[in-house]
Amino acid sequence: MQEKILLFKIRTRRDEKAFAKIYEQHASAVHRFLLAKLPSHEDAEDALSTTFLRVWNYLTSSEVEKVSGLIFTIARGVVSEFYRTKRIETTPIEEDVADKNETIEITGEISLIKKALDEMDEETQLALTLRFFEGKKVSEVADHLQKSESATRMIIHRATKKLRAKFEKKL
Amino acid sequence: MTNREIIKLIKGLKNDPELGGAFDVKKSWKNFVEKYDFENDFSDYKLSWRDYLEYFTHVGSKAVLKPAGALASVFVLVFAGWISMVNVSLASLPGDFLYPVKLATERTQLILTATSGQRARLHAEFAGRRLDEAMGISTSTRSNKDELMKTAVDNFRSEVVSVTDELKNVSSVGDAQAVTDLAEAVDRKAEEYSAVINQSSGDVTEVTAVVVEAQEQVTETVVDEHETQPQQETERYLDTAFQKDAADIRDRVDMVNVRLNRIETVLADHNLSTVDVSKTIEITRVAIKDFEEKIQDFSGIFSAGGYRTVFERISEMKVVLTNAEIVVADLEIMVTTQTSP
Repeated sequence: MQEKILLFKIRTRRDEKAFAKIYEQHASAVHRFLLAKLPSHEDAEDALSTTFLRVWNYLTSSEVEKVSGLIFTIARGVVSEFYRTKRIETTPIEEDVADKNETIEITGEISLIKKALDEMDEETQLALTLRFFEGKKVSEVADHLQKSESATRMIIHRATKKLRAKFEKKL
Repeated sequence: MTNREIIKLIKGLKNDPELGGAFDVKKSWKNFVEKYDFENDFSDYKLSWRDYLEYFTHVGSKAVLKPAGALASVFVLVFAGWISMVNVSLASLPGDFLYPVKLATERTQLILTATSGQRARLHAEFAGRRLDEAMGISTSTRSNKDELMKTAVDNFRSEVVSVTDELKNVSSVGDAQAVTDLAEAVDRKAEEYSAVINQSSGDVTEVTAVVVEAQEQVTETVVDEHETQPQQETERYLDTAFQKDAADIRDRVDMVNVRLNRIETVLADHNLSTVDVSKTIEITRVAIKDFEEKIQDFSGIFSAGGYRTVFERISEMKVVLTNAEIVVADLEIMVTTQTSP
């Protein structure tokens, strides 16, 4: 309910304080998502700003029921745009991503988790990030993914199993 | 390694900067604000009751206004469509596709009318429409003209009967003023009908008879009212009706005599006089000869309160006059035929 009122205030009054609240609630998860997708912290921080500026423009002009789906959709677009621009400027995206992956040294648990997350599909990645890193409830994750709670539980369970297999293999 | 241990491991690493942990949302917001010139207020934001009220008013109005608007639009369309159809149907004649709509609208108007007086006025109005329809049919070239004319005249008669019925209902209440007002209104309508009938070129004998009958019934109703409870209003109405009838009869008698004289002159000029024609003219003259004396006598009877007798006699005189006019019209046709080259 609170989020709906915030969105209403943003749309009708262009209320920046209400938008700050939305930012506070979602920025961390989006930042994690962007960090997993982009080469550096700086790129993730830039992409976060761009994402939220676009969210602001959208929210002040259109009526939105749930904002989380919108934020991640815009964030995905920003990531695609990043690689598209980069490809035009320098090298193809495949090489770039491959380079990025190669630069990761698999040393210790953090690198292992990061690599495992990279290998997962975007939906699973997001589910794990929201559930375990952001501490969201399963119902909230389901809301983000626009799936049922049982389907979301299943995604998280399978992802956990994959991670376990990776760790067991490495140990 | 169990799933639980894996989850514990991940949760334990969530604050690692490599995995996006230890994210400083305030600092991030500050960067955003500086970059895009937003308001740098990240204080504890709480919604007030006004915010809730405003939001629920918005949601409520949206939930109510949208369907209400849609409903209103539908209503306007249906209503406008109906009004258009009713307007178009007003010009329809018996046998037309929209004629039942016209009748249905009139029936609805009657149902929604509360008093007999108002209903009588409506019936008088509708009788006028039926008369217009009859006139329209009489001048039309429709294949089933006779059948439609019969329907139209029947409809006209039915409306006129309804007028007099409602008038009787008003009379039964004993409101002399209402009875006379209504009788005068019906008389005015009857005059309008007569004007329409006179302009018609078709055979409108039956329609004329209905109008005369209606006027007589209206007068009879007022006579009933006056006999039951004599009132100034009813007496004034009857007096006016008598004077009007007397003047009408005098005018018609004069006109018949003038026309007979003209026929005689033409016949004499053309040496066309025959015994039969002279006899017919003489009989016609005799039939209306004493009408002036009778009217004088009726004045006395009327003053003595013999209203019913007077109007009955006047009605008989009108019948005689109508027959005399028919005879004169026949003679005129005969003269015109015989004298034309």
